[in-house]
Amino acid sequence: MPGGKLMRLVVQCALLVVAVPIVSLLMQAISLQWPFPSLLPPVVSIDHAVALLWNNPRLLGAVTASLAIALMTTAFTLLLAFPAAKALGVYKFPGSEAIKLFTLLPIMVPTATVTMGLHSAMIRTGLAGTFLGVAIVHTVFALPYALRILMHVFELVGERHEQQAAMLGAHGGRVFCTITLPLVMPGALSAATMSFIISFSQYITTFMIGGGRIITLPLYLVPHVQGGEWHVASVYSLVFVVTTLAALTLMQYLVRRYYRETYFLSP
Amino acid sequence: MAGISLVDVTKHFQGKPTLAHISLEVSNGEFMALLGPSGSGKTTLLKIIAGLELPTTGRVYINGVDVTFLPAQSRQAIIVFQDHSLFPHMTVSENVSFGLRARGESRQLVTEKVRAMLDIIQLPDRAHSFPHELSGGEKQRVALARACVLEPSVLLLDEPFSNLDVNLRLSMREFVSALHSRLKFTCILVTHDKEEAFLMSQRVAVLLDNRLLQVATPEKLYEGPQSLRVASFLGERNIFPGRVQGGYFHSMLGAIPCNRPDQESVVGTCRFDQVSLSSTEGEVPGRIVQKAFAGRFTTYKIELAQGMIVTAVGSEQQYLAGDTVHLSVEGRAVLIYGAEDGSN
Repeated sequence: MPGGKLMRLVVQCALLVVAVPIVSLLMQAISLQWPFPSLLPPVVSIDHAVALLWNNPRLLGAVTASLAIALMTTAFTLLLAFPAAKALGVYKFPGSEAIKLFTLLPIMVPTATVTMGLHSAMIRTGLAGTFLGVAIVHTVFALPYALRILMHVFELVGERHEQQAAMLGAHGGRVFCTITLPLVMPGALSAATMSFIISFSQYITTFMIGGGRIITLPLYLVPHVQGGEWHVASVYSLVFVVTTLAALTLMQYLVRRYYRETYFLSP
Repeated sequence: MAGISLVDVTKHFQGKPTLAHISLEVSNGEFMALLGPSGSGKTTLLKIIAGLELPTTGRVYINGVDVTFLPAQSRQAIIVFQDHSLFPHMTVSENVSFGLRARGESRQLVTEKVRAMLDIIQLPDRAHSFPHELSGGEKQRVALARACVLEPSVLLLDEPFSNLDVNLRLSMREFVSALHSRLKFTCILVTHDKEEAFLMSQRVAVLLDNRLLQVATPEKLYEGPQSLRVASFLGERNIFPGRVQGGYFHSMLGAIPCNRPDQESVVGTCRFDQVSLSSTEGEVPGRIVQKAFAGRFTTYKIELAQGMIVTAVGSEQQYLAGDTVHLSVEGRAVLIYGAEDGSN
């Protein structure tokens, strides 16, 4: 079947696109040197990579800082995006279309420009160089994406189920926990994932607001890339990939399990 | 005591009126139909009664209590929507028990009531199914059960049967009627289907052009629409212009006695089944241009001399398209409305 063959080809290409960088990253990580003309690294050893990871408090500190800031950013983003997305997705009011467009401004203007402006505000409020300050700035950049995702989910879900619940006698908190949240949960999960990844991969904003005092994984990693230490950079990059994947998988697993147990399988 | 009472309710949306000066009394335990075409504001009126919308002006009373500004949670008025709005992430029994659980009833009572309600809607074995596993009629029954299990003082049905196929619609109508006579709630059924309104309700309220034009029993509404607007909305009527002179209404259907003062340009109407046909005698001759056989009855379209088309419905079969027939209409069958204000 030609359609099936074409589909298989597309899937194979897609796998290749994902696999090639990961495999080359892995090979970089276990090769001490990999001079230009050789197709495969001449000397392969896992020892050096293990040495880089083992007993490295600075790396551990960077990973912890990254995770803490990413979790804070995700929480702030969802807290702000939820009410805004509901207002913009469900209700029609004068100017709502313009506001929808304006919410994209932080990612339409160059990152450095936005951060520079925020930096002076952070210095004045004493938030520069703190975890909170960095998380707030990450939130500025994660919010447009999370808001978009949640807004579209709210547009689809509407408020008819909430209205029905209200008529059946349920008050605000109950309606939110038992109706709104489960219905928008797939979107909320996507928005949380997006926020987490955006925060986790921030470099320039962390650098400017953190002022060198907050060292996240990208800040720890990038000097090695710039210094041409490909081997070290590759090992840290793998740490980056594995941490992100692990954190997101855990988040999805916990949320899914909670909602399945409470709402999908209970008698 | 009035179950629901609306006093001069008006609703504007972005400056445009969707409801104008609606006053309506629905008695306790009454089944009323709210009949009107789509866009006439029927659903908005239900939402105002249930507390999902605020009226721009006017008052809403339920069981004598002013609930105009009361939130939906405290009204005991529940809408069952056309799309049933079942909570997709909950099973049938979780859906039905939702209101009871929100009230904080004991687990035992909730279980008992839900089981009894599922028996009433004849779905006892579907308690653990999810809404997407149910058929259209089953979903609608669960939606009704979810509302009825709370024994609400007011049940509002927003075109609940229009998504169902014909046979299911008939059985659901019977089901709701039976439920009403069993549970005795005050009920407003919104529909654009006049047959449904006539079949199910004790009284029918006609909502046209954002106004309540007539509230009457189905029989009275069928026999005597108060205005030309209501008459033409209800349909199945011939509408013909004429004038009143010397106690007679003169039109293309001849002179018909009436007791109205002389008036130029009035409009007469009579139901299709009130036009009798005869091959020999009758005042007005016409030619049958179309014959449509529908089993119990046959519809004839008859062209009169001046080109006007009159519709007649009869059980007779003897005429064919092209035949010449004579028409006659009984005087008391004809309703006459002033052409300008549309009232009789």
